[in-house]
Amino acid sequence: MTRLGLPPVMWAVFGLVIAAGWVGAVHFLVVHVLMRRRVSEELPPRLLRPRHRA
Amino acid sequence: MTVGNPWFFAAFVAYLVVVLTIGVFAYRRTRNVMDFWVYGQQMGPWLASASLIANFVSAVSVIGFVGSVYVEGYAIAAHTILGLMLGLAALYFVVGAIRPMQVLTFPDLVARVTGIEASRPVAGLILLVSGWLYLVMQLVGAGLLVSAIMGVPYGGVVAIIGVVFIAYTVLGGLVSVAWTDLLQGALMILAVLATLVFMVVDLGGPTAMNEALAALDRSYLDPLAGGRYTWVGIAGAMLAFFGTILTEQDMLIRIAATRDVRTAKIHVAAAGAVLSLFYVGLVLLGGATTVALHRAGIQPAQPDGAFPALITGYVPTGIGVVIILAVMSAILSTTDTRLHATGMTWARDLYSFARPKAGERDLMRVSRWATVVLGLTATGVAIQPPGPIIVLYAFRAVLLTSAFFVPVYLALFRPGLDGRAVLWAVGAGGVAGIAAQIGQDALGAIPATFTGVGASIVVLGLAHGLRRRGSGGFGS
Repeated sequence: MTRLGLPPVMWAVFGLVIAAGWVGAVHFLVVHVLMRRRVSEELPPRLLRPRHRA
Repeated sequence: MTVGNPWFFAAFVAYLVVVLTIGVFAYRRTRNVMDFWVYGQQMGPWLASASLIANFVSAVSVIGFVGSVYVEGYAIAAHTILGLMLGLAALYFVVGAIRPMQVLTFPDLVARVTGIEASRPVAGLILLVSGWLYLVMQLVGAGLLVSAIMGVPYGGVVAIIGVVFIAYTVLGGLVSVAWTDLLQGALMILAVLATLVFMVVDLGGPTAMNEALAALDRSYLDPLAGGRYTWVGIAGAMLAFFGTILTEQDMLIRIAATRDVRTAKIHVAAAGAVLSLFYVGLVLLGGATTVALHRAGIQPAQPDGAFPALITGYVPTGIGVVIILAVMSAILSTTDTRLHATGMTWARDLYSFARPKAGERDLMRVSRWATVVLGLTATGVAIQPPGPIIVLYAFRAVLLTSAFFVPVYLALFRPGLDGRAVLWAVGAGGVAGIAAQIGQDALGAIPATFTGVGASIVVLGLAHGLRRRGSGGFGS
């Protein structure tokens, strides 16, 4: 069963490539545009702990 | 000198003149070393996105991906492109932790997460060698391509391209690179899109094109390329390319160049969205090229010759000129970024470490000289490339991912990790990854990246545990 001459497994690979590429754009659109959550310009607090020095 | 097609040559020359003009414009906008290194950290979302997209698509990917489809079909979408896109997705999520740290380069990040300033030149040296080798290979690929298309001597083409991209990069640093990328990214996407549409229509539509490809060899439409790859091998290659997105010097420099975290996130997100569609289009263009060349009875001498053969032997001159512009864009947008990154690595990660009190004028002078010297040496080597450099180039993705990926990013999100343990893991991962790549046959089905990344994880766990227990085994 092919569509546009491509077998399902190739459709899946191309679909995964596009989905992976669009993850960031979709996340930004949903979280920061639609839900209006501000992009934090500060380091996340859990990363602010003093770093273990050698 | 015999010129194959005067229209192709005219497009080539006109293109070089335009990017040089942009270089002169950028020179007037470059006022200090931060402008030269990271655009004064003022790059907005449109420019940053276009620049990242243009930098991402190299000559190697345009020529190499089409050549790869000519040999093994659409498998490259699984083992290489999916890994790159997943890498961009991951970069989007870590950018919020990297950009606020105010690090300019990847060695800065290594020094920050380990707390060991001496790790900057060590990481810088690895990235300098890796970046310089990439530069040489880009120039070799560009020279072979332009020479084949236009019928002009290879050495002359490399020298001309080398002089032009060194000139505009040294003039304006990242300001030049970003503005030329804006032009190059737009040209490249439009040109590949136009060529794909022309080819698909010419071959009777997408269904006819793919059916013709399957008729040549059914394995062309198989992600495993008819048994050439295993799923484990594909996972290893994906991991290698995934890791390079997070560990390459120029990616960190671009994040540093954006004006805030919001812009950094937007530019990675936008680039991922555009590039995923672009690469699917490029793979389909590879399929169209394969069918067209077989139908026309054209047999390129080597796989990388498939795209040049399409330009010179199949498409009309008008489409050929469009493709030449796209290819030149792909070549210059990547080589200028790599040259800028290697020059900055020298000045920022090596020179300023050795001379921490160096003033701004001094750093600017060293950056420009490093850009010229590294560019000229890469051009000189590319004119007569020795075999070992080509062999070493294949190790780049394995080295960067094996050495840096797990230890540096784990340390970024686990600030309590011991700094020296992280550096031990970087060393162990790099050595194990390269050793595994060299002895790949002996390891059978285990991809080199799995070995390298696995070694870095084991050594990180052991070294961190020993350091915390105060065993003194790692120089406590």
